[in-house]
Amino acid sequence: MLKVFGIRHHGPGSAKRLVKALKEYQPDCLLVELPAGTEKALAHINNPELKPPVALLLYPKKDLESGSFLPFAEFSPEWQAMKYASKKEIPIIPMDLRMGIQVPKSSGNTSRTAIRKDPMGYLAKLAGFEDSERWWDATFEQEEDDLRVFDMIEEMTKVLREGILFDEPPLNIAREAFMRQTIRKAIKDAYHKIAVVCGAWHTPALIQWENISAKSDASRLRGLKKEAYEVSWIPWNYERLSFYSGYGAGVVSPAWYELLFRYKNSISARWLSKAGRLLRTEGQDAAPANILEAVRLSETLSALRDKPIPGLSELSDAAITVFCRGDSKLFELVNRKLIIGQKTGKVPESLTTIPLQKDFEQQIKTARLSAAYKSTEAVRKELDLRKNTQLLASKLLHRLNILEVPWGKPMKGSQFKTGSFSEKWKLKWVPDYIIRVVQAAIYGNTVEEAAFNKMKENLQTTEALGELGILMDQIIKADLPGLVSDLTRKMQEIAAVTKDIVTLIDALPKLVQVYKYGNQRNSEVHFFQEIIEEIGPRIFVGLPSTCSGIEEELAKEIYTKLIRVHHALQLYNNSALKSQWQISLKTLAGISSIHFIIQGWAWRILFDQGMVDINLMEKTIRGYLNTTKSPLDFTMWLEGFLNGSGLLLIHNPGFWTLLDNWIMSLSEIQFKTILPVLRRTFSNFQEPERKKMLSIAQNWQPGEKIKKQEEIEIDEKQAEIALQAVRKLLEI
Amino acid sequence: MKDVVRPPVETIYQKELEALKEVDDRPKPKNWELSPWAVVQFLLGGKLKNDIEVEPKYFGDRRLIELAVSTLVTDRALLLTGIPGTAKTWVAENLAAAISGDSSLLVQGSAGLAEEALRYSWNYAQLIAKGPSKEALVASPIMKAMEQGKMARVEELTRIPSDVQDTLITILSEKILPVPELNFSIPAQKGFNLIATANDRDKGVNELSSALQRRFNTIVMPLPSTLEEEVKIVKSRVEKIGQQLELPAQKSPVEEIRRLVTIFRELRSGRTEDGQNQLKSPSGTLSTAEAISVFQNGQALAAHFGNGQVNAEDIASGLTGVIVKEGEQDLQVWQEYLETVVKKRKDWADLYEACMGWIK
Repeated sequence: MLKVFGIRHHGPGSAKRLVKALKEYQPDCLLVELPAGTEKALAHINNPELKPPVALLLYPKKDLESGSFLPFAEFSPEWQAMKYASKKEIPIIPMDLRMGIQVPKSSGNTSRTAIRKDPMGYLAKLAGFEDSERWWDATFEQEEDDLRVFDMIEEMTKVLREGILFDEPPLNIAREAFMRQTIRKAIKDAYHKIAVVCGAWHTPALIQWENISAKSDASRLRGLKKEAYEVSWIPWNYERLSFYSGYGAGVVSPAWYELLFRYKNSISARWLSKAGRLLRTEGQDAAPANILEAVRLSETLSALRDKPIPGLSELSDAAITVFCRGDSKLFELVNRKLIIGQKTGKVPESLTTIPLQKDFEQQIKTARLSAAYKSTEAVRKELDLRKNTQLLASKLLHRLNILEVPWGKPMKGSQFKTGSFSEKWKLKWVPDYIIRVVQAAIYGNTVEEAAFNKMKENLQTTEALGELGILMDQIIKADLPGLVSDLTRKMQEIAAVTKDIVTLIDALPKLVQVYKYGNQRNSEVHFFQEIIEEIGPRIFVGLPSTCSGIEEELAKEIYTKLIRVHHALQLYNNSALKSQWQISLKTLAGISSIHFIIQGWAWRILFDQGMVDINLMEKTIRGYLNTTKSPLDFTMWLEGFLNGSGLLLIHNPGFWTLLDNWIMSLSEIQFKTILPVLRRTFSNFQEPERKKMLSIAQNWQPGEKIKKQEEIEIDEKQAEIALQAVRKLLEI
Repeated sequence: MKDVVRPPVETIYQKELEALKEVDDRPKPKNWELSPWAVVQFLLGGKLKNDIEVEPKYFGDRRLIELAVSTLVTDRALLLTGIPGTAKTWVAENLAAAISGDSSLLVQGSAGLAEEALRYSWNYAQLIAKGPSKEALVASPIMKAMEQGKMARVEELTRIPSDVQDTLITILSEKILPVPELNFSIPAQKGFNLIATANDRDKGVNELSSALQRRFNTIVMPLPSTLEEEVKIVKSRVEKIGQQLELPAQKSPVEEIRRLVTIFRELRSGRTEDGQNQLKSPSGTLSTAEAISVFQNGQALAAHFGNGQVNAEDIASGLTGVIVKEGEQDLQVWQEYLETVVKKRKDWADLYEACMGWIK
């Protein structure tokens, strides 16, 4: 009448055994543990364009984000069973509860012992394995030809469920009741040889369908709420199938399972050859002779560990030892390719109705971009971010860019500064982009969610602080505030290990900018504070050695960056950080190996902030004049000290006198060498400043002291124009 | 052997080895004293069927020992590498003792080592009296191991000059030792293999040629994997050494050891123990052995100049010395660590103060 085949989802050994069993059994109907309501989608299983890994996406119409995925790989037993059924043209009946049925949670206390929480894991521990996956692999997936294994599995779960764990959670009770009802219906529909394929755990509950009355099952299902679900096929990939990607039900090692499923013999040799080849491309010594050694080692290891044949752990150990000279980091390079693999599935266009695509089209309407979406020509658009719909459009375009759908490109010249409210875009829709949207569906069901997850992944793979700065910009503009904590944590990590203080100096002003002017919510502010207050001290500690003994070019680069850091710190205005900064400036000013331009600048800031009084300052300048080896060094110092403005000299006659005496003391040759630098320093000053200095120089006699705080001459005509403008602005 | 400072492993653990032989019913490779399973058991310890307790010789990853033993079963030689203080030599010695019952066939690598030390040399009196003959040959430990089908050991392989190292290629690949002077060669008996150790920090000194490299399976010996494990190792060593030096007994300073080991582990791994923050690492090794010596130093200071209790002051100087090895760079790393980690920890204020005192 019927046979129940207990399998493990995505178990390659189960898949092979199941195919063999089905061929022997010759069923006239296949029941699989998939939610009822997926019949239509399952009818496409034989479409040659549908290539695993693919997933069934089930989602309620109104709530795209609560959709769930049921992935299949080539080695999934369900997939193989359905392939078999469609080839033999027998019906495929999904027998599980519909998606989205709410089952009330049990009120009684279920025991939370180790065996209850993870029964298979418990058995695995007893058998001396680290986790249930490996234990199951070694115990049930190896003997792929032995059909008796189905009975063994059934017996084991029966003992577990009836002897030890009789308190099944309510959801499972309801599901199994529904499965039994489906079995009864199939029998009623006059099928004679029914193959039931389900997860091993359910086997005992299904086999005894005759001992449980249909009535009691019906009562178990009474009153459960239903919700309409849509079903669609979407392409999947091995990365998503594995545990690494975060979706609950997956397998650790898809590529390894594919190998187990595809080949019968010499799995170790195949796997190690592949490892050897990949490592060779990474420059490792992995000649065929080595592969042989590795195979031998893996076999000895498995014998020592009492395993019938080498498993993934023995093979990895052997590969690390033989190919990588014991260096497991080298092996990590190829590990993902070997164990997870990079395969992506395909779904024919006719079968896609993707929530992300729907949300995308909805967003276009809301953001009033439909015209641009339909246009074949490039469209220019200037967005005013103070207007709501245009802000939405901006967010959408930024988010799509994150998803690698480059529909909108920022136009040249518009720098999209944080805090500015205008963005200029060039929009050009290319039909191929829709495929990218579909591909992005694995990241989420709405544009926002997908951009969020994609960005999260980007954050994980970025290792350079500079690139993180770019991502930070994208996060702020695409309005994904939930990622700020990830971002700052990553920045913290990288900042902690970087030896390159310059990148930190670069990052700090950007962070302060975003902190002050970004539109982040209150909940994110403290993340920025944390990172700023962490990066700050690191810069302070590292600056002296970074600025010591460096070439002029680098010194200037750091000098201009330090000015930005200084402004950023003033803007950030945290007293603890400021006082640390002052200490750091003192250090910079006081160490002789620091480049002169930076020393000079540090003195200037200290002087401006009143940390150094005028007498000490004059003394210091005199000191530098006496100790600097060449006039050029002093000129560099001066450039830093004057910091782009001559006002200091105009207002401090003492400095003026010192400099004047110095210039006069130089020989002609010395003067000529420093002239270019001096000219550069002075030409940066404002024109009125320069005029003023000229007049001082003309009227000043050596030895005479210029009058302090001389009245500034005012050009009445020029002033009147300015005054008019001010009046207008203030409306007086 | 009672008065010997340090008897060989096979003597110290003679009882354990005999007990293992008694229960060992698994297949033994030719000329092995124990089966691979029993060798692993000997190193990792545990209770046997006959109720004899085997003391663990190596605290750490079972996987590594299994790999090492499996390698010796195949015809590749074993190379144990790792930073100083990771029990490489100790493991090699124990493996040789368990497999061949003899850990004495040892060549100590050094920069001045000559080929003869790896192959054979001549008894010149014999050579002159009788001319080249088998009787005039003086076998090296490796040649003896080949003849007897035993494990040979080479310590500090990378300290040996490269051209001398390459002598091992023929021995390891052909499993023979040619003696051209006598026109014959000595074949290795089954059971012969080689266990070498090399120091990670010597990398690049005399790197193995790739031909020789291919004759070895390399296992990198790691530092203790958990804080607790390392604290345990340091504590037991500190106590043992304390007894030897006859330092006045004191309360077991576990908390102070834990702090010290935490600092070592965090700087070594570049990450705080809670995994929250990344850190820079200094240039030094910061091995467990160094932690032990810093602590011992502190103990001596406390015993002779302090109140007998090791406190932050006592370990601060040693700590700074071990971490700041290459001047400016290390100092910066240490300073950053003090400012960003130590300062923020509750109850660590004394240590912060003490260490800052040593920097200034």
